Amino acid sequence: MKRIWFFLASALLMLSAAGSRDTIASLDRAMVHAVGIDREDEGYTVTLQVFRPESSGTETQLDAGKANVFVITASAPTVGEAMTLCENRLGEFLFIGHGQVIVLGEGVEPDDPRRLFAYFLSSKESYLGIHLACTEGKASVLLSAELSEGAVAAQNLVNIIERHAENSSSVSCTLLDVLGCGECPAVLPLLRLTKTSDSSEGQDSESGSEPALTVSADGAEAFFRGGKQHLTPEECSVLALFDGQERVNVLRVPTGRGDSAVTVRNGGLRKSVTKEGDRILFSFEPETAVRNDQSLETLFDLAELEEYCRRELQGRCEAFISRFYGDEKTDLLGLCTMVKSRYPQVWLDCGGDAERVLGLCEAGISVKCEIK
Amino acid sequence: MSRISSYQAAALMLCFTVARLIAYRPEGDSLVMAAAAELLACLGMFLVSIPLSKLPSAGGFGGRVMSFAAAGYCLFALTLILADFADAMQYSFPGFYSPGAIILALAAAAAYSASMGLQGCARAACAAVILALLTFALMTLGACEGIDPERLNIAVPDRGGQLSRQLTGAFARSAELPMLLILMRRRTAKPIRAAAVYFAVRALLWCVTLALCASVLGELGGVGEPFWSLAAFAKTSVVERFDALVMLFWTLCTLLSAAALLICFGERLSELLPGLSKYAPAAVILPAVTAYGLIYAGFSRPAAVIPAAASGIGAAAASFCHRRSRV
Repeated sequence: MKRIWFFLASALLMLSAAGSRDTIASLDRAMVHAVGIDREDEGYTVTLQVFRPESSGTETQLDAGKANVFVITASAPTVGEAMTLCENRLGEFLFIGHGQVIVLGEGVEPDDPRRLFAYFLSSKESYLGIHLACTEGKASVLLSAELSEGAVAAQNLVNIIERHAENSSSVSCTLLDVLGCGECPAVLPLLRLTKTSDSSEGQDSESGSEPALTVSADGAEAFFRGGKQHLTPEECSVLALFDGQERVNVLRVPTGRGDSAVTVRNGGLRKSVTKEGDRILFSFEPETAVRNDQSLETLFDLAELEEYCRRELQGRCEAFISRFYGDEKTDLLGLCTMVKSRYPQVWLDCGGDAERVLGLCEAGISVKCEIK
Repeated sequence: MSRISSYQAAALMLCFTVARLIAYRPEGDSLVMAAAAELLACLGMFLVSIPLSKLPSAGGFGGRVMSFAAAGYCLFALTLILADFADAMQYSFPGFYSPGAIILALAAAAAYSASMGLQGCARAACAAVILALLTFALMTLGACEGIDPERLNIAVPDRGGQLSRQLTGAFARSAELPMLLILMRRRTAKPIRAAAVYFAVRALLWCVTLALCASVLGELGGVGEPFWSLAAFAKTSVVERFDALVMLFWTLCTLLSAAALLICFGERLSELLPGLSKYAPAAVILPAVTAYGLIYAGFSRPAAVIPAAASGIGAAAASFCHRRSRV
């Protein structure tokens, strides 16, 4: 038999099987950059920020006058149905592979993330590293806001979250973190829409124009089954010590003539876990460092500065432990995960109940700080 | 009869492993237990392969029985590979392509590849496996930021049950082992070395990949297809999405696996009915039709691996019915 027949059969079948909806080029689809999810009485409201490449090249990335970012909203009992409604109204297939951020409005809690994000899980285009954030009020307001000149579209929202996380005043959270966290709470950065305090604000109010708006990531929200808790920027800085990423803390240190800012860089984290009887003892030693430069030598006594920074961070850690592992039993440091890994039988004996396991745990943090 | 080297034979068998790993579904079981089961399975099968590889070739009536069983096994395994691939495509990309078109296109491409002969397929398999392993290494680099070793645990309630389930699946999915030992012994130089290289690489690949999936994906690793989830997360500055590359190697390895089975079928056919072996590539029609029928009837993967395991054991048992070799 001629081999060419097999080749032709295979090629013809492949050509004839093409033409399904997903062979449409991504440039011919609506490129969704940001998704907002709000809770309504009857279900969810989904807001999509869609990028229009034909309008790119303008001075601002979000400019109502030039319409290079298009915002569309739809409501339905589930997120998946709302996304389909958006697609119908746009008249184009959605491409979510380039999504930058998903913003959850007040009232939307990711305590059942696989149900909430089922639409994204079912699509092979989804990027699991898409950022997640929450906001006070409506996510639709955040995504629809006319932001000040030179500021943000969805990509810059991500940059703002990442900068806040790097400076330890907030956290960074992705879709994979929420889906894979198991018993641990999901910690999302909290985005706030604020008006900029501008010297020309008086003139703006006289002319009747809207005040300028900007976005900041101010602390975080920890979601767990049964509720949520707010984390201040200082508490986020404690989480950053356990992140394993390159993070910095900016501390306010008093000098003889006023306060000065000192940058403390996070280093490694030593941890030891021991079992004494029924108790499981965790000991963490985060290592931090202050890079020596001329300003430090002229403003501070280096030994005193080192001790001050260590005490400041130690105080934050102790307050963190007292709040989340004393009163409220919220496992933000992943102690349950460590118990599952190192003492699986203890986990099984507790029936996988995180509260029971936390009752057996004691955590202590001892911060080290040195000037290098 | 020309031979292939032991490394080429190992590469051909690794095509089966790569294709299976990409479409692997733990179905709720722990990935750590699955890795442990795979390690045990590789060790056990390697130890079994040593005496089996020393069996003389069978002749006479026993030899014909073995050839018949082996030919039937090849077609059965080919049917499962075609159906499995189409089923996995339907699971991963619902509504993208018609399963019938997938099966027929793959079957035709496998027949075309098989018509090039064993040496051609083996050389292609070497290139495919090396490129696939390089891609996996790049994917590991892209996902290393999300690695958390604390997520590796065996805190599952039914450890023994999960281990035995995964072990059974690992044996049942090893279609390439009887293919090597019984069907390709005469065409492979140093089959024991081929088996050693193959099982070592297979164990390493499975253990590293499953450990990576468990440490990056966490609870998400136990559902769906963890390899695709990992590909959807890994990101480098050179390759932002690994889905297309993974699809390429998955298709290529499945194609070469199917081609290898067709070649083995052709060789067994030539022992049973000399002169008809040149029509062996056309025999792809029967498994292709059967595979489409399985998909249409609601193909159930767990129900199919048991007959696959039974047929593999049957083919191995038939090899013990040997007479004095005529070759």
